[in-house]
Amino acid sequence: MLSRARPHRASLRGVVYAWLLGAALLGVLTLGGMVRQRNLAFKASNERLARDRLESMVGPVRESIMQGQQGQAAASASTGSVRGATPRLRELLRAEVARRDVSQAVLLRSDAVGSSLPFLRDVRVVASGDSSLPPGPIRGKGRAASLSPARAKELYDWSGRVMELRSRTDLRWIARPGAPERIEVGRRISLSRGEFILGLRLLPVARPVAVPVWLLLLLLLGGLALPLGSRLVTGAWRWLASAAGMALMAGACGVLLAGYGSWAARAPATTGALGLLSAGLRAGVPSGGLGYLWALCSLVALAIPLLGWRGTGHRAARGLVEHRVAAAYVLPAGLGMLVLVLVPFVVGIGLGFFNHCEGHFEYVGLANFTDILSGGGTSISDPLNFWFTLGVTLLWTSLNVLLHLSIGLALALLLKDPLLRGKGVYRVLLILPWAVPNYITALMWKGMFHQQFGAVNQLLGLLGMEKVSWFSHFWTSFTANVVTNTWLGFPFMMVVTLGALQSIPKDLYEAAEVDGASRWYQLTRITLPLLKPALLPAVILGSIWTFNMFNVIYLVSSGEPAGSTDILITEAYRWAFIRHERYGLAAAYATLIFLILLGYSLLTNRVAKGAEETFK
Amino acid sequence: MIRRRSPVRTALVHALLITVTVVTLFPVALVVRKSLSPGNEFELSLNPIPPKVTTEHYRAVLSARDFSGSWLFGRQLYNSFVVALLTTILGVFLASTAAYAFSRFRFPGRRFGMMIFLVVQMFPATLLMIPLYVILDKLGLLDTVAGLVLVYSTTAIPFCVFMLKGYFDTIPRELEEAAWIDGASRFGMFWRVVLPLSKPALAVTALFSFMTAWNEYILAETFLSNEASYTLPVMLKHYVGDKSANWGAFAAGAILVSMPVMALFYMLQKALVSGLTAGGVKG
Repeated sequence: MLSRARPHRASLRGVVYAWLLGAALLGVLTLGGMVRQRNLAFKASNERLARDRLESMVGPVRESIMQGQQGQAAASASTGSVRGATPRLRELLRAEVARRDVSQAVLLRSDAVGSSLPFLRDVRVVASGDSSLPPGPIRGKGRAASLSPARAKELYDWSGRVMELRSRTDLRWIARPGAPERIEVGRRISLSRGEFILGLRLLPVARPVAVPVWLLLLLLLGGLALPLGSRLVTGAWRWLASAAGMALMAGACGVLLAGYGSWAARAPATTGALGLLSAGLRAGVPSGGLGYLWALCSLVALAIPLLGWRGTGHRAARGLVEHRVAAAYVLPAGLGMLVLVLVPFVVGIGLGFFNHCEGHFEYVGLANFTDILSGGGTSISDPLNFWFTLGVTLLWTSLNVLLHLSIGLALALLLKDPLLRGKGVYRVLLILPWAVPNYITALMWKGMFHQQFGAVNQLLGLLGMEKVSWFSHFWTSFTANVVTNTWLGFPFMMVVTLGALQSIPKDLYEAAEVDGASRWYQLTRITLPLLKPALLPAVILGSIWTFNMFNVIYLVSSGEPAGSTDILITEAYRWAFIRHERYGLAAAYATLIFLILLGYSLLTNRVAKGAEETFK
Repeated sequence: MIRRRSPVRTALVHALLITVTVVTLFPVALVVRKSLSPGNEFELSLNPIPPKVTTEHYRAVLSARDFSGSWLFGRQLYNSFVVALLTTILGVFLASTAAYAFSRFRFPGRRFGMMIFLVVQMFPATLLMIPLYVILDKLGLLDTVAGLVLVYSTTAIPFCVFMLKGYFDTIPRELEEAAWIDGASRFGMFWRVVLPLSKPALAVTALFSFMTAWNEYILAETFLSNEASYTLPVMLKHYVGDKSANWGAFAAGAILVSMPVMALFYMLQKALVSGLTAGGVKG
């Protein structure tokens, strides 16, 4: 390798790359800041326009409704309808839509004023300036009569947003990723006969500039290709790779500059480099999935100059070249793991910082974690309390592992006797529970604990005892879970112990017999200490399995009564898929579970290593 | 030198073992009996063959149809089979190359990589369920075979890597060196020497991946919402739902679904134990 022959030049080049990349990053962020400043100015002018337009509409609309109500009062005083006023209102709204900057104008009526979101069920279109939008109720998710489902859904969403605006502020810029081209405003008109909301949808006079995420990506990829590409190949290819990386970077900068140039002439005065940089940092965090991508890219971008400066990047690149054969073999599985495990893992941890509500994720910082760890206002004896669930989980895990280990160990010790007849048969029969798929085991035992026709209660009946309603008390429910899981788990420990017993040299026992040691002495001084290195990993593995034994808890007791027998993992599942899709909170739970398990395995790993060294 | 046991002691040991075995087999015997007898109640008996044998539950499970009249059991059997098969192929293919590299090459990050695989194996996919659900939702892969295969491979790959690496380590390098001298390439050594020699390990690994995917319940339950895309475990769970429980059909279905994998398990269990414990010890 050339690079190995001239290390000093390689490191010099590394520093140059690092500076180039750092400068490019700063450039992008500064540009982002300018984009943001410009967009803020656009936003202000659009808001001004929207407010003016809305306010100019409110007076005539209110007048029309009042006139309609007066005309109607004689006919039907009780309904409070605006039927008489509708044609006039429709004319008014239509005239408004005919203006170029208003694309839609709607008057909505809500009959359940004051409540929060559920009132959306009772929204009714009073009049609209849009011929495709007939007056009438908007029900549920897109099932309004005479509207296509897609149209009704769109309208439903819009009315929801307009109603929401009413409850917070009268006017708001809604810049959702899906519809950045529209301004939606709403204004509440309260009259004695009810509550109306006037909604307008305006075309913005000034367009915001989108921050091109893909450009940053291109730039970063180009930057990566530059140092790595030149090292992976030799000869002419090296120059080609360098040139390609260079071209990518230059192209990205060029496109960005060209885009900037088109509106830079009208850009407001800047507020200094630092101000722009911080604005750029803020602009660089879009919402939703792009946000993760953006954060990841920024991290990579920040890491590259750092690695280049320390020379680590180059060592890694050189290592990759030296071991390119190994890398090629690991790559498919490595990529697979990256996509299948690392990405969900990072997304999962990230999700813990968001709150999910009806399809939108909102960043809430550490709120989910503090909510969980503080118990979220529940007392410690409440099944929803994190510490209660943690306590149940720990009790569940330790009790199960203890039972698995003691039963498995006892059976293995009985079966190890070489003179015992039919031990093969016993062994084959006793590992049956392990062979049964565990969801079937769980469902089977749920049936066994059934109050009416379960076998367990019938057995109790034979013994002259009362039938027990297993899943209506904490301890009986918990016992049912433990019995199921013990049945399911002891064969693993038994088999592991049997395997380990075979590796204990026979002459140890012979020597002990010669010395006249009792059986108990042999067990505690020879068998158990020599089993320890083999059993420790099995216990660690077993406790992690039990800690996350989702199927048994979920299928046998399903947390009954009132979620008290839930363990952490089923609790997380419930938050995500049963109680209002609270993915953020559930992800925070999963993160905490992960941390607990990580801590546990690090701790036990140290213990296991210590044990191994003792017995080697 | 082993002392002769007294007959009393031997009898005691046998009595104890028989009791434990009976307790262990009891629930299974009940399920077998349930699947063969009419009605919905678990009769308390150790004999798995009821006095009046009926195949009504089996027929009910096998001939289940949905509203449009398509054959549900066939459809779900097909789903389960395809998911398990694709998971196996993907898992074994990806894992065999990685395991070969871990076994034969010394490269920086080797220990770290092995550790990652081990840690991942310890943390089940249930933990990743929420992000996986959100990601599959965004990608439009919910309710599809492809989504389920991707998720199951997550669990299959690390275990496959460990099993195969352990086996590759036992194949003498001299064989590859001989092939090298005969002009084989690196890939040739892997493809023509190592892989054919490790057919037993490949078979075990493949069968194990198949078994895991076949038996998986909760991810399938969460990611699938359409009856026609259910896998067999989800179907079974729905026989004993909260509103109506048909234990007879469940028992028959459970036997149909678990018989093949239980047979597989008995074939594999020796290799499985060594694989699991070896992975644990080496961490």
